[in-house]
Amino acid sequence: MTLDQRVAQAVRHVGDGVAVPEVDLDAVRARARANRRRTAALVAGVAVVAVVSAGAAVVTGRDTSSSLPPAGPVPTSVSESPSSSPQPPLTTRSWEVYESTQYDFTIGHPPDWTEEPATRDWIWELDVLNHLSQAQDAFLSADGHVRVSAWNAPLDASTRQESIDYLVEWVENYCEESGNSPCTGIADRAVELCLEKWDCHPGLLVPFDNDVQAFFSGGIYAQDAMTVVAVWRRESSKHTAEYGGSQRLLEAFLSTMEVWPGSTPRSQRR
Amino acid sequence: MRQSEEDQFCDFVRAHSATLFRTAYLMTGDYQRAEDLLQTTLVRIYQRWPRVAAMNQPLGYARKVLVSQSASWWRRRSSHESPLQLREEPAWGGRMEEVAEHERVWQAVLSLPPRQRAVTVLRYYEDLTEAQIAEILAMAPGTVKSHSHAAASRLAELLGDPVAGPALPAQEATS
Repeated sequence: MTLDQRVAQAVRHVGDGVAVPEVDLDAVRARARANRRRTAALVAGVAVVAVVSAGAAVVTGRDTSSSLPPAGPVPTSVSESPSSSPQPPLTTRSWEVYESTQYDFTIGHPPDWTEEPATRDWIWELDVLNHLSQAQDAFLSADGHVRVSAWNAPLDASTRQESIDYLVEWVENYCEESGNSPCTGIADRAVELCLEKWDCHPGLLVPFDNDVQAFFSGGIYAQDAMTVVAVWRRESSKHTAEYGGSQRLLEAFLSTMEVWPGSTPRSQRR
Repeated sequence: MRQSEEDQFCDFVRAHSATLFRTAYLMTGDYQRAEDLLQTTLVRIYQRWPRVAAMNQPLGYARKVLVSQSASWWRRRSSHESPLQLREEPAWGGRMEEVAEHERVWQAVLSLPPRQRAVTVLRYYEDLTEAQIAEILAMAPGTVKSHSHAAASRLAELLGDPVAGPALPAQEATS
């Protein structure tokens, strides 16, 4: 018998032999309702968290730890406000400009990176779990180790609000649906962004365990979509070290889209 | 949710929860964790049921959510291989020998790193193609191939089975 056959038989034997528990549909409904209540509380701004556990680890938007976080809930408080990358912004003068025909925005990228244009619109059900989706406009570094992508996720225009609370709620839902983590404490560790030099429509830059992503909507961007830009490397990845980290690299891409950290002086927004 | 949609969701759970649970169990090797994974998956599906129900393959979407939740769990754990302690093979003949063989292979599968195990389960239990596995695990097909080959090499080594060709180097996932 070949190894393939041995493995197939063993896996089927174990899988088919395991006793299947009965699903408690009431518990499923109750958890779904609880999730909705939690989200609603966030929107209403009720869930402002100020709980500090003595000795709890501190999480900031500039976590440079090289290891994954421990299991369990992430602390929901910070000792300092999250901020933009502490180093001076990357210069993007020599970057090339890419025009997205799929999503009707322009974004710059380093000249030696390759472009992978989106081939279709991004659809939540098809693409939320797939960070290599062909519905993303993507850019690949010359060494092939860093991938940055941008796309528009459709929004329900009737419920869209131009506020940080709305963005936090949306990102939390997106985080959970995309299997990303941590999905708690987003409001605490996100860096607030300004879209456009003068108007400052709100956006968020959020570090996750394995990547850093930015979210914004409105202003010069579509009102019925959330524009997402992602660097698919964790902040401490050795592959983004030459750019000063994933967050600094993301901020450079964003600056080519007229999006800056809120702390950037207007005179430096160009 | 309308009553007809509630009924539809109940039918979906009745028809597919056993399959989903078995996959969850094979992914985690842990009964309690598999129960949690199944419930979390069903909660996600329930919250989006009208849209999921309209899909061509709601089960495919459910499987994707389940594997994704499972992946979140892997990230919180060490990605190193767990120590393997193969059980002594019983000396009984006939059917018991077959059961012992399955148990021995299963213990070897359990010792694989999470992604190699996921690829193995989806390939051998779910009978999915490389392209389908790549989509579910959000990996490039080449990465699936690497994980699959690395898993086969490791299993061959553990189970004393020669493997065809040299092991490919494990490819780092994009994120």
